Amino acid sequence: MANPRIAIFARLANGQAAPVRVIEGGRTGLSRTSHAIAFDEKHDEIVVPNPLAEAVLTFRGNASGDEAPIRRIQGQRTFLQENDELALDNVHDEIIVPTRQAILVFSRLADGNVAPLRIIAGPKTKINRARGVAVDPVSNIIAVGNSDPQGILIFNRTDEGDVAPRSIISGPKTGIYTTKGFTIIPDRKELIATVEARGVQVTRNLGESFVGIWNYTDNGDVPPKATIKGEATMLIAPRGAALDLTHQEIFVIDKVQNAFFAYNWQKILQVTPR
Amino acid sequence: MRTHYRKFIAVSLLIVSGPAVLFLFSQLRNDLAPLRQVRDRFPVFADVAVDPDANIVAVTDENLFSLRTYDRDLASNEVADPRTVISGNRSRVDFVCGVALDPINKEIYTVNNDTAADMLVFKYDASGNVPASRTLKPAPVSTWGVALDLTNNEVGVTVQSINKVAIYRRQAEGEEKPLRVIQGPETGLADPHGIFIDAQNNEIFVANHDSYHDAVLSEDNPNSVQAQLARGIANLSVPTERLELRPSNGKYVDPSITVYARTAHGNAAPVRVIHGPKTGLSLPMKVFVDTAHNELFVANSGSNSILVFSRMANGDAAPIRKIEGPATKLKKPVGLFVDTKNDEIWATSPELHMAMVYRRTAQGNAAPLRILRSAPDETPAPGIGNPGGIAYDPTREQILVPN
Repeated sequence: MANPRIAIFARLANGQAAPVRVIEGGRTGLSRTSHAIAFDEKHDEIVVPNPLAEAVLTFRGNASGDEAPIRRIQGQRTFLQENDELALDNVHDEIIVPTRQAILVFSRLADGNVAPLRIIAGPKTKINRARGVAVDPVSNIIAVGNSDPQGILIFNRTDEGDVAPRSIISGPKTGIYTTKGFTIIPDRKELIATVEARGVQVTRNLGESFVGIWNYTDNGDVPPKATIKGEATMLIAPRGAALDLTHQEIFVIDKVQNAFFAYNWQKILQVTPR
Repeated sequence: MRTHYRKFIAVSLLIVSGPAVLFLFSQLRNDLAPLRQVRDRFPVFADVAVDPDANIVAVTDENLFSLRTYDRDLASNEVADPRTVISGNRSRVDFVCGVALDPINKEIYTVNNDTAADMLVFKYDASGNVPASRTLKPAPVSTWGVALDLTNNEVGVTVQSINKVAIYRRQAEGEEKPLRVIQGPETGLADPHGIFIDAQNNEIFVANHDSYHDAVLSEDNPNSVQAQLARGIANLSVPTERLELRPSNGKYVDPSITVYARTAHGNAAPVRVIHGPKTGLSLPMKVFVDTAHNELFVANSGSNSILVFSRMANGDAAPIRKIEGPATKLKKPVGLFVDTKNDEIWATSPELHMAMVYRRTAQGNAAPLRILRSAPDETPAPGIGNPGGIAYDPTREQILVPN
């Protein structure tokens, strides 16, 4: 749909289902290019980027209709640029925003023209065309998808300035072309990444892209320990994932299918370890 | 007889057990089928254009990635049968938005939006998984509107992410450079969507949302690695410029209709700007100028309405009439076309899977004269378009998806 909006669906929605509510309209400040979203269970808030206005918007958790955000990070001091994606740390009250060459960390409560609390940037970081980000506030890591080197860069959560990543998951065995969306399982210290295969936006081939799971401690040319992959998955261009650990399900959004899919999380974990 | 019976049993077992075997096999291979999926099975109409002489209406379908034509005068309450459907990877029809018809050369123009942002041109009778007659690469991503100027043999497109209007030769293809570009902070372009070229009065009309930032050079190069990355085809080992941190310049502005001289070029200020509270503009999508009656029509998505202004409206001008209300079936309208030959207005309501036809002079809570449906009436619409993120709210047990 060409309209900018956030659609909210019931967990058990299936098939030709309409959302239970929609955040949309001129007051929302949304543009039709929010390629990430974070839900803050602790503070009951929704956080989304608007890269066309170089802004980060926070809505009430039960926002609906043409409702304005309760906070908006925007302005010269923010350094926001091509800010397609973000992640939320509700333990340390921080919003983490990758730009093409940097990771910006803001206070969760930042509002207006506010400078980042920390910036990770510089040649040692190897950040290049970063796409997708996740944060674990307990194990204190930030992971970003990276284009060159192709793979996942893992930093310490409190890193600042021109620092090398503590590990890089990259190489032919990883199967990574581009990683676009992340989620994490803090208890298991696992990182879940959606991996889009090269050319699938053109070929629309099923089964080439996948969702991969790596350990936080993985480093180098390491294959995923488990995957959601294959024609039966219906995935063509997975772009983001979210976990429901209560019901042991994972939700994956697909850009080409214009759809999201729910999978049995336990079944994925039962696969043969590498 | 017994042989036939055995054959029947064998075939029946095969039919019954086949899917089960495939399912088990897929599970063993970790080839996991989803438990549930939320997906719209029907076309979702975005933009619309009409050729009254050829009696066809063309619509873009941004859900199943197709470009469709129908009989203009089709009157049916059922799901409409298309005359042609162009779809598939050879066609390169993707997340298509704008559409325009060339009644002289019998061609359909469309632009992909957030993926392979190409302009594609097909013959009227093209159908199936067929390549375009011509393809033009006007932007890395986010081409939205397309408009033809058959008087001057030109075609114009809008590019959302870099606040740009580019005018090409009508027959431009490949990587041909535009004849003129309107871009820069003085232009007032902000997340531009619909475009109309009024060749009679030598003006260009553009609908702008409210998001603005100064585009950097690499955002404007269709061949940059960044652009190819958006299309999922980049050679990532190719080094590219490093984008240094810079003060952010993003801001929100009033939604507007900006009007330029037809030959405007560069950082050109508009000759008129319609904006302000009296205009009622909110997320304006397609615009159309009826030069016969000197009226400007706007599909105003944010207020579920069609706004009609004087063609010469300027500043905080109120519409001269509106089509809005529950009987209109306008719900977040995107597409718009005024058929002056038949005195009709066409508009699309993507969330209702329909294109509606009104009298040109309709106003208020006017019911459509007829409806072109892409799904049975009241079919729910997930409304997911080119998504890139997903989150879960465990308290409400809800899934959040931004477009």
